[in-house]
Amino acid sequence: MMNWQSAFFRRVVLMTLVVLVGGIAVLCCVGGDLHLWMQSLGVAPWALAFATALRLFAAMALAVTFATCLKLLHPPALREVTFWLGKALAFFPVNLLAWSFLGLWIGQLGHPIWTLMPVTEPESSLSIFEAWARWTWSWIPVVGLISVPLTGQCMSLSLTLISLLLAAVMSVSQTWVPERMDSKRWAMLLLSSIFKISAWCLSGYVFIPSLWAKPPSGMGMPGLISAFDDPAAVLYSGLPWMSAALFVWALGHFMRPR
Amino acid sequence: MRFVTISLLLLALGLGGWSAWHAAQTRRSETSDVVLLLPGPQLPALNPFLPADEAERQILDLIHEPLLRIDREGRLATALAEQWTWHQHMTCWFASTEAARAAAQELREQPVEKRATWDLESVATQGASLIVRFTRPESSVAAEVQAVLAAASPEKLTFIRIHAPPSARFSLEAFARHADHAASTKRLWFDEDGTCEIVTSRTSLEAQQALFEWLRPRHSPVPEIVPLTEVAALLEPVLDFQLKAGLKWDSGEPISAADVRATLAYVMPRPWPLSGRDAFRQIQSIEEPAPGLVRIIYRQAYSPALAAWTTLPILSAHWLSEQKGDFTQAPPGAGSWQVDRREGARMWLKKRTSGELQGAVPGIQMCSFTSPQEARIGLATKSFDLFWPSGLPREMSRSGTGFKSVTAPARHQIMLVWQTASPLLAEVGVRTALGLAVDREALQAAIPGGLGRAHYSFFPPGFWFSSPHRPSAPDAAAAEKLLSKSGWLKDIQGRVVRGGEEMRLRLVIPDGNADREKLGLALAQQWAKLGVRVDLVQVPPQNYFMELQDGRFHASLVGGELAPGWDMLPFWHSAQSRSRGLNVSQISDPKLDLLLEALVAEFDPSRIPNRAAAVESRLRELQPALPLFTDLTEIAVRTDRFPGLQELDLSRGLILHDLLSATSTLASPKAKLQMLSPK
Repeated sequence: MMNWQSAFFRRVVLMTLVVLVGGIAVLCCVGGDLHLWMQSLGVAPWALAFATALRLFAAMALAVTFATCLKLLHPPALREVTFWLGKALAFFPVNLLAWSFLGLWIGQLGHPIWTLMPVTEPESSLSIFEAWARWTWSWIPVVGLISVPLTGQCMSLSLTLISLLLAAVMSVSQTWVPERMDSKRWAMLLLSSIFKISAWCLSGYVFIPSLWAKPPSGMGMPGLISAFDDPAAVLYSGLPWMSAALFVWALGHFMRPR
Repeated sequence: MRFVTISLLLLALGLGGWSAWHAAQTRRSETSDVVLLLPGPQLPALNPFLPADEAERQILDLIHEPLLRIDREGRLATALAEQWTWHQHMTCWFASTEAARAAAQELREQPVEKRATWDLESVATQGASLIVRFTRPESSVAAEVQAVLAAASPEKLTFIRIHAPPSARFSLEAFARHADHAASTKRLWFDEDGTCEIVTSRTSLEAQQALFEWLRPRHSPVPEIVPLTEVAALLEPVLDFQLKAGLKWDSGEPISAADVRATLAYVMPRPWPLSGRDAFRQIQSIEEPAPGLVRIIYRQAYSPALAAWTTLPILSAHWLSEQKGDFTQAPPGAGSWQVDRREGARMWLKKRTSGELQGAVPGIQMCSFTSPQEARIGLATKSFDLFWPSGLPREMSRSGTGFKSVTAPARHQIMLVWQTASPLLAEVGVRTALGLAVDREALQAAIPGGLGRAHYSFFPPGFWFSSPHRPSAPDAAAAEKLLSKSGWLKDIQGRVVRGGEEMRLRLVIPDGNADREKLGLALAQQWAKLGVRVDLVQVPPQNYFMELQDGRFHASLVGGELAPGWDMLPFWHSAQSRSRGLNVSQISDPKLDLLLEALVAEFDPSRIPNRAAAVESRLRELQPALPLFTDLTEIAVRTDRFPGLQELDLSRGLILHDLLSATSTLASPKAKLQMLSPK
C-alpha cells in the first residue's frame, strides 16, 4: 500500500520537486518572463518526448514480461545466480551494449537499422507489408536494447531472495564493525576501498584483461569505428564499469542493508 | 496469467524477429537511385568553371555539355555539336562594290581544275568586300588566289598594335565606331592585358596619326602605337559547328550560337581556371549564319583551338543575362542529367528522358560527408554505390566491402625541367644521365599517400594523339657511363667532378609545398647515389615562375594541368624562352620549333598523332625535361551496382559518365558514334 511514509510516495514527491525546481530555474534563466517561459513549452519536442516515453514504456513492459517468464521457468536452485546475473545486467552500460549491437548488426552483418541509414528507399516504393516491417524495425532495436538492463533489474527485484553473499555482507557489517570506529568512518574506509578496487578494475590492473578495460570514451567516431571492427571488444569494455557499479551497489547495501 | 505472460513475450519476440529478418533480407532494387557519397561536408556549388574537386568535376560533367567531348577512346566525339568543319575565310576590301563584284567574277571564271586545287568552296561579296571561303584552313592556296585578285587592286590592310591599358578599351571601341574611322577599321580585338590590334585599310602612317589624335586627349601618356604588317587580304580560320537537331534548354529555348557567345563572354573576364583559355582568346567572332550552325572565326590558324571546345560547358544565354555577378546558384546545364532537388546534405539528379521513360531510369542521389558514423554505416550496409576514397579519413576509405577501386583520368602532371642554357646541363648527355638515374617507382613513395602514376610522355595521356606508354627503367650504370663520356667522373670521395668542379645542382621548388619538398628530397637522394650533390632551394610561390624564367636553377619541379589540346609550343618553342613565355627550360632548337609549329598548324585530327610523335621524339632527343607523374584519383565502385564495370576499359580512367552506363538497367549496346574528320 502506498502511504506518505512509503518509498514510492517519497520518490513521486522527489520527482515532482525536481520538475518544479527545474521549472523555476528556467523561469529564472529567462529573467522571470512568464510569457517567454510559456512559449518554451511550445518549442519543446513533445512528439519526440512522447515517442521516447512510449519506447521506455514498451521496454519496461517487455522487461517485466521477460523477467516474469524467466522467474516462472528457471529452477529454484539457480535463483541466486539469476539474481546476481540480473544485477550485473542491470549495471551493464547500455550505451556500450548499443554500440556492440550496432557493430555486430551493421558493421559485421551489414544489415540496416532504418533510423540510422544515410539513404533509404522512399516509403512510396514499399508495399504495406514492407512498410510495416520497416516501421517496426525502426523502434524494436531501441526497445530491445533498453529492455536488457531493465530485464536484469526486474529479474533481481522479482527474486525476494536475500542472497548468501548479501547475507554475508550484512552480517559482516553488523558484527565486524570495530567498537571504537563509528559507522561513518567505517563507511568512508570501505568506500575508499571500493573506489580503489574499481579503479584497478578499470585500469585492467587486477583481473580485467586490458582489451576489456578500454575506456568507453568511444561515443564518437572512434567508438563506432572500433565497434564496427570488433563488437566483442566494445562489449567487454563494459565489464569493468559493470563491476564497479556492482561494487558500489554492494557498498550501498553494506552500509544500509535491505 | 502464466499463459498470457508467455504469449505476450512470444508475441514480442516474434514481432522483433520478423522485423529483424525482414531488415536482414532487404536488398536495394536495381531501379533505385545510384547513391554517391561525396568527399566533402558540403554539397557542391556546381559552378561549371570552378569545380572544387574531382567528384564535383565529374558531377558537372553529367549536368553540363560542351560542343564536343573526348570519348572513352580518347577521341573527339559529338556532344552538343554533331559535326564540325574547319574552313578558311579570305576577305579582301575594294574601293567599291562594283570592284568587289568584278573580283568575284574573276575568281568564278577561273578554270574548274584550278578552283578544285584551291579547295574553293564559295565566293561572295558583301558590300565592297569579297569573302572567299576555302574548304581547308591551310593558307597555302590563299596566296595563289591573292595573286589572281591582285589585278583587281584590293585595298592594303595594315595591322596596328596599341599597347594600351585595359582602361583604354572603351575609347578604342569608340574610335572603331566613329563615323570617320568605322569604314576603314576592319577588325578590332583586345588581349586580356588591354593590348589592342586594329586591322585598317589606312596606311600605317595614316592609322598611327588618326589613333594618336584620338587617344591624346583621352589617355595620358598616349599608349604606344606600333604598325605590324601590311597584307592584301585578311585570312581567318573558321570553325563551323552543326548543333544536334532539337536541342533545347529546360525553358524551351533552343540552344544556339548565342549561348556559346554568352558563355564565353561571361567566363573570359573571370579569373577562373579555364582550360583552353589561350585558344578562346584567339576568337574574333561567333556567328549564327543559319539555325543550328555556330560559326567561330579565329584571328589566326591554331588547330588546338578545336580541343578547347571539349572543356567549355555551354550555358544558357537567357539564364546568364539574368545574372548580376558571379553565380549565386548552380546554372542549368545542357547535359543529360539535371539537378532535381536539394534537401539539406543531399542532392538528387535526374536524367533527361522522354515522358514514357521518366521514372524507369534510376536517378542519382548524392550525400555529402556529414559524419563519419553515417558514412561508415552507409558503407557497411551497401547504401552507397560509389565514393571517392581520397575524401574520407584513411581508416574509413578501406572499410567498404564489395567495392572495386578504379581510377579517374589524370588531370595534372608534374615534370622535372632542366635549365638547358646552364653550362652544367648544356650537354644532352648530362641531362640524359641524370634522367636515367631517376627511379619513378621509388619516387612514388614521396607522392602524397603513395598515389600517382608514373608518366613518361610530354603529351597528356589517354588521347588519340598521346604517345604509347613506354616506361623507361632507371639505369645507374648507364647514367655513370654517360656522365663519364661528358667528362664527369667520380672522384675518390664518390663525388662527380669535372676539371676540379663538383657537379652541384640547384633544384628549385615552390616554398610551402610539402609534397614538392618530399619529392625534391627523394630526387636529391637518388642523384646523391650517382655522386651528384643537390641544393634544394625553396622559392616563394609568387616569385617561382619569375625565378624559372630568369634561369636561376638547374632543375625545377613544375606542375601543371593536363589540357586536352596538343599544343606544346608555349613550353618548348624558342620564341617562348628568355623571359618571354613558358619555355623555362630555354631549349632552343630550330628543328623542334618547326615540328611544334607544324603540329599546331595541323587541322586534320588523323594526322595529329604522327605530328605529335615527331615532337615527342625530338623532345626525347633533346631532354629539356623529364616527365615524372600524373595525379591519381581513385573511385570506389560497388560491383553489385555496376555489373557492366568489367566490360569497361579501366586503364584509361573512368568518369561518372562512363560508370553510369555500367549499371544494369542502363546498359546499352556499345556503339562508337565517333565524329569523322572532314574529307
